[in-house]
Order: sequence, then C-alpha cells, then structure tokens
Amino acid sequence: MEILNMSLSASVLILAIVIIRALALHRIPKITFLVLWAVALCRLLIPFSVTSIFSIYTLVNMLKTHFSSLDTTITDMSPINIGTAADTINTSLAKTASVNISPFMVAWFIGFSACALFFLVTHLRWRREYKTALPVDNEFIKTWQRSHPTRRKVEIRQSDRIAAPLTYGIFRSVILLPKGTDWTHLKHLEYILIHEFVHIRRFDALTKLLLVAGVCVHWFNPLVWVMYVLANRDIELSCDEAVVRTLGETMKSSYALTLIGLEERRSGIIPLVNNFSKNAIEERIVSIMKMKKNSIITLVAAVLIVAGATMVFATEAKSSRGNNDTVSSTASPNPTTVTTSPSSASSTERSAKIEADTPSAEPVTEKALPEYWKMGALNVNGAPYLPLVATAENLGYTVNVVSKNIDNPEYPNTVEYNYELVKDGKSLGIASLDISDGKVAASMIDGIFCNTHDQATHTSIVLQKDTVYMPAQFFKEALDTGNKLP
Amino acid sequence: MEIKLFDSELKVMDILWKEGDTTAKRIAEILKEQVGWSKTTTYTVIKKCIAKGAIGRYDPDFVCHPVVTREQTRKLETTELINKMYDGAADQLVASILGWKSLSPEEIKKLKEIVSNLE
Repeated sequence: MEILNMSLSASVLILAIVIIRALALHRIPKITFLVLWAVALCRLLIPFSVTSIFSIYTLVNMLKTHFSSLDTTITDMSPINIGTAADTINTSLAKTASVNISPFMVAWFIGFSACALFFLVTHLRWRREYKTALPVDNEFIKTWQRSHPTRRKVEIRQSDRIAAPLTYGIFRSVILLPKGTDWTHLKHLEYILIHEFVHIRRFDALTKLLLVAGVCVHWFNPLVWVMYVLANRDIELSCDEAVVRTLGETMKSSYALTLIGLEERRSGIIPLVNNFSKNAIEERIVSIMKMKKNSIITLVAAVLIVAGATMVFATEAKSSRGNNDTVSSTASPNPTTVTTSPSSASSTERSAKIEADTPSAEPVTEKALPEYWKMGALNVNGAPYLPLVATAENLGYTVNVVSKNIDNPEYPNTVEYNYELVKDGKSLGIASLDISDGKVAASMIDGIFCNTHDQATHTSIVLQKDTVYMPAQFFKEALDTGNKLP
Repeated sequence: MEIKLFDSELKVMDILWKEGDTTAKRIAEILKEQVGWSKTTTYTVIKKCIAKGAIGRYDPDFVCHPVVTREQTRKLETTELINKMYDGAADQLVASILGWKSLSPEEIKKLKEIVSNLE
C-alpha cells in the first residue's frame, strides 16, 4: 500500500514535469529535466516525505476543510499506511506479509517479478552478446583515448552484432562501435567518442538502471512508463547538449548530421522500432539545432522551475508527519495536561470507512449515557470517552504500543505512539498520537488526522493521568463487533 | 552446408583452423591474450559454434574440432559479397581487385598459374 501511495504522489510530479517539458524543452538547459526526473525517481523509490507549506497538498487540504463534503482522494492516501498496521514500515512489514496478504499485494508482486525478469533476462542476454565484441585496432581511437583519460577504465571495442554505438557497464565501461563504422571518417568517430564519454562520466548507465527499477516497482502506473521513455530521451538530449558545448556551437549541424547518419544505418537493420525512434531522433535533431548559449535568464528559469516544481509537487502538506527513522519500543505516554485533539475530517467519511468492520454500529444514545458514566467514562463536552487500553482489552483485543521519535523543527522532542489492536490475527492500527514536550501535537484515529487547532468534536483523543481516552462512539463503530457496549 | 558466422565466432574458428583440434581451455587462454575475453565469454561463443554445427567436440577435456573449413567459410562470405556488390558475377570482383590493388610480379605469376590450371 505504501507503494500505491508513493506512486500516486509521484504521478502528480511526473505529470507536472511532462507539462513543463512540453512547454520548455528547447528553452532551458536539458539538465533541468534530468534533475526533475531524479526528484520524481526519489519519490518513487525512497519511502520518505518532506513537508512544505507550499505543497500542492496543503492547498488540497485547505480546500477540503472549506468544503468538507468534497471528498478528495489525496488525503485519503495517507490513512492507508497508518490505518493498516502500526505504520512503522520495518516492524509491520513481516506482519503484513504473513497476516494479510491482500490480492493487490499478490498482483503487484507478480507484475513486479514479471517486469524485473523481463529487464534482467534481456539485459543479460545482450550483455553476453556485447562481451564477445572484439578489440578495435585504430590509431586515431588510441590517440584520442590517450588524450582523454578517465578515472574509470574505459574500453573501446567493435561488434558486428550492433547497429549503433553504445556504452555499457557502470564501473568498467565499454564503448561498443558497430563493425560498419566508417573508421576513416575521423570527425564522426570523434563525435561518437565524445558522446559516449559524456555518458560514462555522468554515470548514465546507473541512471538508466534506476529508471528500470522505478518502472519495475511501479509497473501498474502508466505515468511511470511515460517517465521512463521521456527520461531516457532526456539523457540523450542532455548528453548531446554537453557534446555541442564541447565542440562549439558552430559544429552543431555537423554533429546532427552524424546522428542522422547513424540513425539511417540503424533503421535499415531494425525496421520494427523505426516508428518510435523516428520521433525520438527528430526531437534530438531539433533540440540540437535549436540549442543556444545559456543566458542568465534561462539558467535562472531552470533553477526556479526545479525549485518550484520540487517544492509544490514533491512535498507533502505541512501537517503530514514524516515516518522515517524508527525506534521501536513498548512504552506508554506520560502526559500531564489534558488536551483534546478534534478531527478535521467529516464524519460521513469516517463512518463510511468503518462500516466495513462493524455494520451494526449504532450511535451512543442519551439513554445509554448513565451506563457509560458508571463504567468510568470521561465526560468530554457531554460525550462519553473510554480508556483506550482497558476497553480494547475488554472487547478482546491485544494492545501493542509502538513509540518512535519523530523529531521535527516544528514539534521538538516529539514522540509518536501507535496503538495497534490485534484480534484473531488481524491488526488494526487504530490510534496514533504525537506528544511534543508533554503536549499532544497531533493525533489520529483510524487514519483520520486530528488537528489540535480545530474545534472539539466527539472524534478526538484525550489524555488524562497517563491514560488515553477515546470516544465511546468510536469504540462502538470500529471495535465493538460483539455489541458489548451499551 | 552454409553456416553464417559472426566475427566473434570467426575468431574462435581462426584458432582451430590454425592450430587444429584444441581444448576449450586452451582456446580461452589464447583469446584472453588476444582479445581480452573472459573464460565464460569464450565458452559462450564456442557453445554457439557447436550449436551452429561449425565446431564438433569430443571428450575428454572438451576438445574442439573445426567441422567447417576455412575454404567453406570463405566461399560463403565471398559469394555473399559477389551477389551483393557484383550482381553475382565473380569475374567483376576479380577485375575490380586487379584494378585497385597493385600486385607484385610474384603474385601475378601465381594468378597466371591458377588460370592456366583452370583451362
């Protein structure tokens, strides 16, 4: 589920990059897009989030509070991971795997394996072929290589199995030239070598590998495939840009002609991929010919675009919590003050979520109130609140508390407590609260984020004398499957 | 028998044509020296040649034996060239070689011998 989350949030960013790319491809340095793709790739592959008040999700959240009937899906994404298990990825992973393997997980895994296998097999098969390449005995290439030393070992070989020059290997790179290369055309050779050396120096083989990893993990997301195609193209475009910069702008048409020549040879051999690569090569040629010297304005624009897009589309809303570094232990909160933390989510949304668990839940009636007071319920604005741990245990649940430090600048010394309720091998990550310097900074019930600044309602967590209280209504709806409560 | 061989495969065949039957291990040693292939790479290529029927092997020690001869391969490659570049006319190929390649008196003498043998 974590993956679906990451996929969805990265999709927004990818969409933004695709639009920016369409609008500004030939106007700003190509490296801009590589940086943007790298940000998107980080979002896809690393399960962490950075918060920013400029995040697009802040806007979404604002709209959501204003129009509570508007059920946007974006904030619904975050409850998923918190709601299913005690949300520490490390600790719950094994549990989730053994306890609730959902059909979605199975489907994802099958897709992932198929993708990974496909890329792996194709890669290995080609690699075995590349390995059989023969050395090149060419005076010009030897001299050129001597005058362009590299930190990593680079070999230049030739093969009769490929149609266009290529480079493979991350740490020990090999440049392969097709056998049909015109060895006497020194200018062409030089262009090709410069191009491949830029690839090597930039570790583009590694970038491509990471892109493949992104596609494998998010195989179900068409936008990630779009990103895969476009990012691969942008690697070439950016490389061309670097070559033209080394050669000087006057050489750009000559370089473009070399590329066209190579492409002609390639398409003669593999006619099937013609259509697709034609589009890409056209883009390359146009982009080379349109290349201008980078002015201050384009550089500033590039920096602004990267900073802006990253800030707006790659961050979470400020109120979200980061869930990295996990320090798990069993502990119980020890607060001194009573704080209420009401929910900002609409109650329709919440009951809709819970209905699946206990369809028979009924609201706490006036008549039942005295019974609750007898049970020792806490009176919060007239609504009965029950002690979380004791009540849950009475209802047949095992209660696990997981705490972790989630220090952040806004809430220093913050500890997050996750109450995980387990029954019949099923895990319900039901309540979570952050305690910052003895005060509740934020709390969560059944995945619904509660904001301390909001008005008190009956869907909040209350702390009193080391005990966590939750609304009786909530127990009835989410946990009381046997209708034990009045 | 027409077996089309790639450059890498020809490299292996070259050794067999020159040295006669050779063990796979020895081929790997030679090619490591010559073109920098790893042992597995050489073995992959040998296996391909066996699959194509260009090499036969016998145990012990995985000795490789060239099934196709250098002459057969040359004939195949040359025929292809003639068909592709000279409309299938072999005399045109010979003519064009004689046209741009200056031959030594010795080579000319040898060619004359070949022609007279054919007549």
